[in-house]
Amino acid sequence: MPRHSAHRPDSSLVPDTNHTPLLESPLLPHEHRYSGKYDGFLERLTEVPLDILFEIFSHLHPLDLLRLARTTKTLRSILMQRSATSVWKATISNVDGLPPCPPDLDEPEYVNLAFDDHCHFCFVSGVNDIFWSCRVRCCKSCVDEHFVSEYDLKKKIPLASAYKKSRAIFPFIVYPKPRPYKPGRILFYLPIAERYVTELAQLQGTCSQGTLRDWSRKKTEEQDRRLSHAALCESWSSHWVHKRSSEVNLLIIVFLVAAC
Amino acid sequence: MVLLVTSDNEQFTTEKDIVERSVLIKNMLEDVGESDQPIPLPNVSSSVLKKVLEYCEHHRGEPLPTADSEQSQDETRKRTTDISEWDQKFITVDQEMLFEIILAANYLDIKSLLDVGCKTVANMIKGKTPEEIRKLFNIVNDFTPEEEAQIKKENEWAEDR
Repeated sequence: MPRHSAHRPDSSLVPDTNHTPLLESPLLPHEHRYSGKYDGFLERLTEVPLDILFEIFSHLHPLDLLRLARTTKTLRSILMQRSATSVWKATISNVDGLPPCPPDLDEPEYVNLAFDDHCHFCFVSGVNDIFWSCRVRCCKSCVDEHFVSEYDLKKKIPLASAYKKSRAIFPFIVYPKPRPYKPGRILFYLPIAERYVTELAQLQGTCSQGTLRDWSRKKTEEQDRRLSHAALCESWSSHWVHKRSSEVNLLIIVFLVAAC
Repeated sequence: MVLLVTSDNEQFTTEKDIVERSVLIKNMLEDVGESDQPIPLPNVSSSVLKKVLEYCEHHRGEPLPTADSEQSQDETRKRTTDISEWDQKFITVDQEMLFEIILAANYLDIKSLLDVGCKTVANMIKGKTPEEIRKLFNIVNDFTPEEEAQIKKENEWAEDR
């Protein structure tokens, strides 16, 4: 991230002593003249050069940045612009081991998926089920509403039957997470499946077999990319869950030893 | 000896190796050479300059970061918010002074002080909910309850909405 370069005092603005006495106020960048009483730092946001603001924000956790973007309209308009990408990237790189933002998501979307514990449909909080390959965080009851079995997918979306291997194209989850003797069911994510079907319907009206093949190839590649990124995210999050639980276990042991 | 004049027309006499932690002043002195002329700092008030000079005096003699080291540090080192004990005590000031110190450090080009200021504000924000952030900085929630519910759904760039 470029650091303050835009606000570095420009040497051309330093007075030339041959002609100008130093006491005469030179033209300097950033005239910060204030009047009145100020209570708050962020209240004076508009006075802070943007690169300093971004420098401050780049020290934060991405969830802090997401929350800042939800505090006021001014902060939201600053942070939800593409020009703020660098500061989002900087905060994402502050999180140990978190894979970089995938190309099909905007950085704030990725941060919302990874760290904001609200269900993306009903907004209930405390939801820990992240379905990385579908780019969605979803509570139990919303899973029933927004995911379907392969049978239902093909029933709902007749065109899906054209694909023998639905899993190669349509984002899916294994739910509940498989455990020994409890394999979990394969469920497809409806919002993306529905979008694909609309695309397909448009294609079918106009074009040849070749275009359809291209479409399938493109979607298969997208699915592969999603799945491999999801695998990285899974291993990242299970690592931290494991680390947290072992820390908790350690605390319990320390507590028990101390109590004995 | 260097003579500085603040925005409120107060004069400060200080030593060259203290004030040269400011790259702006260092460059000015190099351009001007030996001179008895006071250096005007129209963007810095006396109360802020006093704090800034206190910082520069404590850190006098320490090597100044070069542009190269700055860049490689950025690339290799994770951004931490660790602040040394003395700096932490030094920067324990009210928000208005913190704000002024950051602006002064930026204007005077004192990178390490700017860093301490930025990290301090970042530490204040860390781990807080939007409501707690508003309370901390005394800013008003200008979203309606409907907008507040809506923004949780809108996480794509504004340009794409």
